[in-house]
Amino acid sequence: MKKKIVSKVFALLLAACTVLSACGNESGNQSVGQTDKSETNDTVQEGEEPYTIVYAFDVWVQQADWDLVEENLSNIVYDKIGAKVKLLPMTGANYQQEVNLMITSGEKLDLVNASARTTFSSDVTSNKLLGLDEETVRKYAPDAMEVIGDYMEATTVDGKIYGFPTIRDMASAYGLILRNDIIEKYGIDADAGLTVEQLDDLFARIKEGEPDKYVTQPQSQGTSILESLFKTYDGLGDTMGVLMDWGQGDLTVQNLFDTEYYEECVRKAREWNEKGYILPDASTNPDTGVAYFKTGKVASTMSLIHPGVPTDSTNMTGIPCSTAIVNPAFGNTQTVGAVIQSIPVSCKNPEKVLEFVNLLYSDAEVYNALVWGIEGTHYQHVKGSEKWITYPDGVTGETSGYTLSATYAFGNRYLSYIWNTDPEDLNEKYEEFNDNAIKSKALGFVFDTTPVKAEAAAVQAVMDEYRLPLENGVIDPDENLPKFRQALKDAGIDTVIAEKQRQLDEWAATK
Amino acid sequence: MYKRLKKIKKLLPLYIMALPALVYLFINNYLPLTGMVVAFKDFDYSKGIYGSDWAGFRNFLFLFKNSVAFIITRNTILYNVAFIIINTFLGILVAILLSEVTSKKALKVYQTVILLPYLFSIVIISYLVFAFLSTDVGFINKGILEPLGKSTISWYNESKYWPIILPIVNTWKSFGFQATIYYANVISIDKSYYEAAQLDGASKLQQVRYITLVLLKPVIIMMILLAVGKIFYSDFGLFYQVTQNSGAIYSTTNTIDTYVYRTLIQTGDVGMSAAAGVYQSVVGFLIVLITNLLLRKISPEDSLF
Repeated sequence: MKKKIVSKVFALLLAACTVLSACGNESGNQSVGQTDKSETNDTVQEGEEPYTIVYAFDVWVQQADWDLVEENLSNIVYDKIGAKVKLLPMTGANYQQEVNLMITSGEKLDLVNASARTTFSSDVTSNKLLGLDEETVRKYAPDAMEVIGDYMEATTVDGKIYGFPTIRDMASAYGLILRNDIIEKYGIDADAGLTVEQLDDLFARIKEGEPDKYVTQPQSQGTSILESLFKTYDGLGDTMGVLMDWGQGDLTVQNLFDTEYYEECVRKAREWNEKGYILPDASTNPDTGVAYFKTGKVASTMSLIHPGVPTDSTNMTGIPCSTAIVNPAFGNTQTVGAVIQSIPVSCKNPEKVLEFVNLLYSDAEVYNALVWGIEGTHYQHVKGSEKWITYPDGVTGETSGYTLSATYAFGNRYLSYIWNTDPEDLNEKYEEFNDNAIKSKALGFVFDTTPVKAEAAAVQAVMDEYRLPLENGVIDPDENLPKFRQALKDAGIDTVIAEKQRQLDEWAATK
Repeated sequence: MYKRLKKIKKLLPLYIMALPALVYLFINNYLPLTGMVVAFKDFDYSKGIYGSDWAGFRNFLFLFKNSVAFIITRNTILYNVAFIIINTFLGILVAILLSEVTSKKALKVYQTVILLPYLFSIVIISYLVFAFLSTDVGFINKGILEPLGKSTISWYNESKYWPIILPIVNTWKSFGFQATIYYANVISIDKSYYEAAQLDGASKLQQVRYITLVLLKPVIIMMILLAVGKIFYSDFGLFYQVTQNSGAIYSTTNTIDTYVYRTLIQTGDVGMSAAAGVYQSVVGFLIVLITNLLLRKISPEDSLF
């Protein structure tokens, strides 16, 4: 008897189990099936509930007035394309995981922000993102295609479009943020930029003249001197195999760490570090960067430079400062794809989402409603200016419920209003900056690590161990550089480079 | 037959009462186990967990691809063994000392002070450690080494110091928790044992040796066994935050968890992350089984199962 009951219980559990797993399977298949279906027919529902576009993206700080902004944006978008918008802003750390979970479990999600700096290429190979054919995109988002232009290559893999890079600083220049009093005292011509030789001389003079200050520091805990000041190569994503000379030569993938160039850079970093120019423990000091600059204990900071930087850093640190470019603006797949708006596979109505994306690239009203909030509540126009905006009367940075100002994160930055602490022609400056940047010949190439993923992961671990301390000059290159090179070989960097060369050649042949 | 039926009838309400908990346990703890298959798949979002293509053991390869495998396994196990020994020893010692404190007020103060670090977030602790070790402003360099005329040490770039620093930090953080558990057991020991021992003229040390430790044995064994089961897991915060993720000291601070995190944060490969997790749990499970088996050989009445 007891046995019977036990077996009954088991049967019950089994049944529950099959039902549950069946549900799981079904929802998985369903989402795939439906995307297929909606791709083939034009669904414009009349009299039906309007489609709601769920948009997930990562932000630095959550905003108090998301609800207001969402409602306002949603109304504007509804008037234009008949769809509602639901915003799902998340802060950095768990963003990626949440999005992965939502997509795996088939939860409703229509648009996400991805990045070529992090996982875009694996997102593509693991089919997390929907690949659209050019025809569909041209039909539903013609303006976006127009505005993005050639940059579209960065998100096109095997002829399918996997997302839309936002228009912002599409290249990275590197250099120094310098205090204005230092610039004056040492007669620096910041606008003309600086060369590494000039830096040698300048650093020595500042070291001599400012005994109570460190001469310089890296931009943040995780970035090295080499990457900030000396970087003249296209890392092709993971820097396992790079193109030297900003990718201007032939498409031969080289092992960066075996080059003489790398050795020179590492030795220069070591020299500066031993001469005491660099903030001690640069690679491990958690306070490096803006926080430390604020204390007034450093004369300059190495930094990524774009037209918005001088005002941003002056505002953030309260210390008047300017920028001097050491390394000219350079664009590759990663700088272009720093922020990519992509449609995940779980999306049920890609056409509507494309129309929304199109608005972000072509409609100033939609763009500014998302970036700056509601006019009169979160910003107001400066009298007599089309572009300039500021806080409404009686509102300050502390009391405003929406201070997102993430101009880089959505659509087309050229549509943006300008906060009145920035020059009124900031957008034109961005355009000039982007147009003048050096562009790698491999712009648009996305490396798929799948065939060599075990090697790539092992090489990554070796790079994590050695790169930062070597490139910041905190460990001795005589002893450690040979060790680093050997460890890379052991981990299989040559296999990764060979595979990358193969894919690059293949990619170049299709162009 | 009839007797059995009666027994079941009697117990039925209990079974029914237990049912929700059993169902919960099943859904929460056992159903997700099927997700382990991800470790053997080339994960594809459009195909889902069970629909993706099989990858065999390929996802596990990266763990053993280079010499790092040896270092991370060694670090993980040795640090954990050190932590288990130090924490158990100190925990019992402090628990016994606490049980001898007679003033109620003093006892409250001690308990709070001892437990406080355990409640700190590891990020805060990493900053406390940084305040000691920073080359720039750190207490040890500026407050001790410099006044003594010694040259400063760049702690975050010298791997040889970390096998000492990390156990100190870990002990400071977690011995209070261990002490609290053992203390609860020490005070529950029947006082008449001690009275009898005193009458027989046993010294304090003898009382500890022959009464307290003997009666604590089951708890100690259980605590150690639980810790041993986690020997393949490392406290991620301790090895990542407290070391400021410094590459120069990986040779003594890199553990399986930090290695996996650092490697896969870059590639974002679901299959490989799952493989690392499966590897850790399977080996951890085996270690518990083996430890228990050994224990059953040595002293059967103390084994868990």
